[in-house]
Amino acid sequence: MDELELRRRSYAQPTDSDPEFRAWLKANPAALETARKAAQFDQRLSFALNQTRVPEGLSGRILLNTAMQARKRRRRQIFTGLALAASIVLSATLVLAPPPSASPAAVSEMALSHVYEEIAKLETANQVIGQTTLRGMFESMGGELEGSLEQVRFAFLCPTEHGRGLHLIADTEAGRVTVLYLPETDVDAARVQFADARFVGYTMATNGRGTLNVIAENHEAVSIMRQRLSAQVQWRKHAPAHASVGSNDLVAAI
Amino acid sequence: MLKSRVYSGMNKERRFEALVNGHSAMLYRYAYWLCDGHQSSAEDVVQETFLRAWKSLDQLHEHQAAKAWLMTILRRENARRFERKQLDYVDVELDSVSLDDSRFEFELDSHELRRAILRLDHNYRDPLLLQAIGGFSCEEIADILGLGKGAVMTRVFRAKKMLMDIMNPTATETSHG
Repeated sequence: MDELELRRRSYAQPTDSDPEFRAWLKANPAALETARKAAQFDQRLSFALNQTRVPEGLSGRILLNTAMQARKRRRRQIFTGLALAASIVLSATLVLAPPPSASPAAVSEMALSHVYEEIAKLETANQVIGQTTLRGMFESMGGELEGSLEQVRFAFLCPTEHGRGLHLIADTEAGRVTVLYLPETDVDAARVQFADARFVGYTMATNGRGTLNVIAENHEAVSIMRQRLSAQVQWRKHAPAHASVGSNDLVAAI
Repeated sequence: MLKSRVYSGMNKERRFEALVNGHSAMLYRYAYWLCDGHQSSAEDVVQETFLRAWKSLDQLHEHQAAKAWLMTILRRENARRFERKQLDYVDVELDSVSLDDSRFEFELDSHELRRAILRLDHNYRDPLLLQAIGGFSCEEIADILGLGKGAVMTRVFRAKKMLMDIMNPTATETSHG
């Protein structure tokens, strides 16, 4: 790589793990500072772009529309189950979801959807997140990390439908687990445990201002993380109105 | 490997449902910016994308490849729509973007940043969207766009420089690209 490409990369892909690029950054404090600023800018950019509000019931409409088109074309009822599921999702969205707060049924869907959106992170996260960073992040959500939460491989304050939430990825003896704090959501007693084709999950109550959702590919990993969270994190009655986070937390990758 | 086996063991309807639940929100956001902030066009493109995906689902063998596969379909569907009818897009429907700007420090300048993004030429905007929304590396973006990795890196670099200059004209480092 020549100097020009290295400089370009410090903007275009500042967290690139290429050894030659990392060595060049290490040897060039000015370039490292540029890369740090570019990584911070990437976070702002990602936040701004991902704030776009997704229309209510989009998934249900897609499933329903596809089922109807398939039925029209094939004149066979190959999609009965899918259409029924889509109808239920759509009906639940239209009838049961009073905006602006999320309907209880939507919490597990929001959580699963967020995991899939960040699926690459789940598979590649390998950072070591310090307890101080984690404490600050829980604090900004209205929680208090009293002990420690070990083997956290990714931590980020993500934009969600109802404001900024907390997204953690951690390793347990039974496999990798995602923890999502989703603000302005409630536990749905009928769907405390949820699952789709790949993941299983559990919604935990916090302080009445949001839910903690624990998601993994098996029940044991979910159970382990639930126990850790119950033991280590306490929740204050009310979350602060103006949560803030330092740039170090946001650019943990660089 | 285990995930791929689980995925391939699912029937077509379940695989499709998992794709919709897992990727529709991300695809909508991508389409929204690709369609210059036009909400109904964005939803139409996403609907068309999933219809096409349903028809071609047998071509998707690895669940891990689903996001890039769907993004590629979406880009093609958007190009088809564009050819059929040159839509008169509005400037940007910012009411569709959360403007609860008082709560978080990032949101203070997000409004201005979103407007700046829409001013970028599509040659620069597209790879930037794939990176910021899709989470793809420059190499993956090169595959999706059918460009060289160097060309993608140059476009992403220039796009960010342009945005940084708009957002903070005196602070960015002078550089050549």
